[in-house]
Amino acid sequence: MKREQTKSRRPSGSKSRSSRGRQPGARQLGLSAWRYRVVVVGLALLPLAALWKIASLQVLPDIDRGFEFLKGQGDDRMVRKEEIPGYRGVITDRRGEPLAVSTPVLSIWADPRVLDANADQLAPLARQLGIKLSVLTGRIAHYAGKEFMYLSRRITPRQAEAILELGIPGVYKNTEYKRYYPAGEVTAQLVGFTDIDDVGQEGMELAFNESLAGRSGFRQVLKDQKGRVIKDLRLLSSEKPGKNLALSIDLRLQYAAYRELKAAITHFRAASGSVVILDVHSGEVLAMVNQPSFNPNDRSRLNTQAMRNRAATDLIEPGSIMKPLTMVAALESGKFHPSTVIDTSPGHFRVGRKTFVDHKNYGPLDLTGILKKSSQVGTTKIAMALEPEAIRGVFERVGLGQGPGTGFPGESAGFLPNKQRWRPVERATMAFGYGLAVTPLQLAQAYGVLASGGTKTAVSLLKISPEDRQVPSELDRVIPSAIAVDVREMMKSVLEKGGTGTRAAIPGYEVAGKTGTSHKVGAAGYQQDHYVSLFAGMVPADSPRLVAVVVIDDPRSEDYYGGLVAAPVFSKVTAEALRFLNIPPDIPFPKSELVTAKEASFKEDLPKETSPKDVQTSRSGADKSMAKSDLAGVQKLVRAQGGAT
Amino acid sequence: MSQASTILGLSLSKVMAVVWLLMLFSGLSVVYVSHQCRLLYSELAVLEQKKNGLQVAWGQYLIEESALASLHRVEVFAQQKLGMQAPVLDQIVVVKP
Repeated sequence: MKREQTKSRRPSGSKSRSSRGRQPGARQLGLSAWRYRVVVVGLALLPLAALWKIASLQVLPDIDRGFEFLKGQGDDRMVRKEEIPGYRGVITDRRGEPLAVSTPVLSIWADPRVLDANADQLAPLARQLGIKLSVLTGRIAHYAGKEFMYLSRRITPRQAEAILELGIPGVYKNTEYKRYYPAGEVTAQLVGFTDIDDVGQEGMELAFNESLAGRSGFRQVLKDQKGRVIKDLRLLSSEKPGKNLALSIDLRLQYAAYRELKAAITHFRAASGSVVILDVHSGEVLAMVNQPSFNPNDRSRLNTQAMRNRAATDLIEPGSIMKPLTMVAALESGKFHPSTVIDTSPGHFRVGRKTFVDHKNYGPLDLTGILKKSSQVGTTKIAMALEPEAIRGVFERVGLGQGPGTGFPGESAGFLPNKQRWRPVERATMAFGYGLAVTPLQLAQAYGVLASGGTKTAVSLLKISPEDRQVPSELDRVIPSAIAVDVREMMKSVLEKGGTGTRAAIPGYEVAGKTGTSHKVGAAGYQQDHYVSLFAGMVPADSPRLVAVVVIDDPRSEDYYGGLVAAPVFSKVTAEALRFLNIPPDIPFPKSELVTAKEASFKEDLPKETSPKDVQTSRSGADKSMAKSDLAGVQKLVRAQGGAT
Repeated sequence: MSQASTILGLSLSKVMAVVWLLMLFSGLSVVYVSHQCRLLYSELAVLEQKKNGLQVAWGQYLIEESALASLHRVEVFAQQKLGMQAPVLDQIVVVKP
């Protein structure tokens, strides 16, 4: 006690007497010098020791478990890894209606070992899960000894919170993402779907998976005692939110098309069908529907047949629906004009060993009349008068035999034969749409060329914003404008009284279109009673805005002609589309003059469509060899056509 | 010497005192500002969390909305419950601007 007091006084004393000696304090107090030195050295060592301790804790590794340990302990209490969610992009239609939305769902899982030890708390858990206690204990027993079991998968966050709020140890949550398809089966094949890991598997989900996919990021943050984030330390990995995708389709049109197609498929007991509606000016696909379809939200009973986007992938032999393009070739040749009269009597015409037959003897018909009645004889006579490559050339120019380039997975390019030498019969069948294969989408694109006045626009399944819209230039021209207009004019007659497509008429609008009925190819060549019914048309006829193609495959009812099966679908769907798109009627509509199809009256009157049944009527026995043809699909049918000489 | 010991007419010791005070003030300001920063940051974090929550809710509402307003449902409702129908041709009046 006494010594401390003297020491505390020392600094003031030593200051004044510092010149007298080396250890004035010691002498003054009468202490021996060594004791003073020990104290001074001892006091000097203490801060050094403190410094050493600090250094050993903070700087030097391997001493006292090293600074890493302490730093780690500190970080464990403060530094947290936070997830920055990156969702998969939303797919919408052109007006922003959602077609595919990802939303987080929670899966509740448990550690059965922990759960087993808390058996008294299982009753409320079972109640919250909505299962019986015995079921829950049974499941726990089943997973006994394991470390993981799902209690409930993919439930809404609200349901999950209710379970977690019970505070039962060993119950945890896990965030997953689930994709919902609000439009369901209406857009199922086009939009496609994702797998359980949110990766695109079909359709646009697959085609644009890269840009749609979102990736969660992580950042390191400091949290205080209350769990609040107080400082952003660094970004571990940046999040990448998926980009949204706006498709070109208009859900209203899509829905209308789907409803009418489904009704027709059911009514005519058809196997399948497709409708494509195209915006003439931009090339955007406004609707693309298929039957049969499936519910992408519930894929437990998925039928793979229903998954195909038939409109883009499935090949059909188009039949007479190609006749307007044959007329283009005819007009381009300069040998014909729309009013050139061709005598179709006596109603059949022989090419090589085949005879092409009309439904009845139409007598002399002009080109418009041939199209209106879909005369086989007339078309064949025109084909015979043209250069062998002329018709194929037109088909190729409007995009047949080439992929439409929409990027849709599995999109088909169709098949357009290319030959060194064209036999007459091949030229004739090509003229009325046999011996080639197209997709409904390609048909729509081809009719789009006629509708736009001869320029070819690339079809798009993605929305094209008005500023990105390409104005068709002369470089895109594939058909002379005047000829496209002429053919459109001719196609109007198809819907007039006596034409094959009267049921496609839309009150208030002028429609240009063409019907088609083609025989399906089976194992033994063309089948007598299996057909594809088609209708393709454009409205308003004088300055078309829309092109629609209806394909109904294998109707099993009594009616199978394109004009009876597909044309009414066209009429209903397009009428609704025109209303939705606010396209004004182009003809005044006094009610009495409207052509409204009645079930009975047109049936007898309806001219017969192109059908190879007629082609085959005079086939010789040599054709039987075709039955042995083992080449599938298109090649088979092409061979069947070509091998008939 | 006298020049060195005065700055702006103040003696060196007074200047030192002022500088010390300024330093003290600056130090305390740093403490205050970093505290404010943390408060604001935690608020930001809370808001961000809220934003994520709202994003989730938005997605769910979007799904709910499009399920409730699905064209099929609207059509059935309009036709069966409200007795509505699409206008037939002579009920439509085309208005030209």
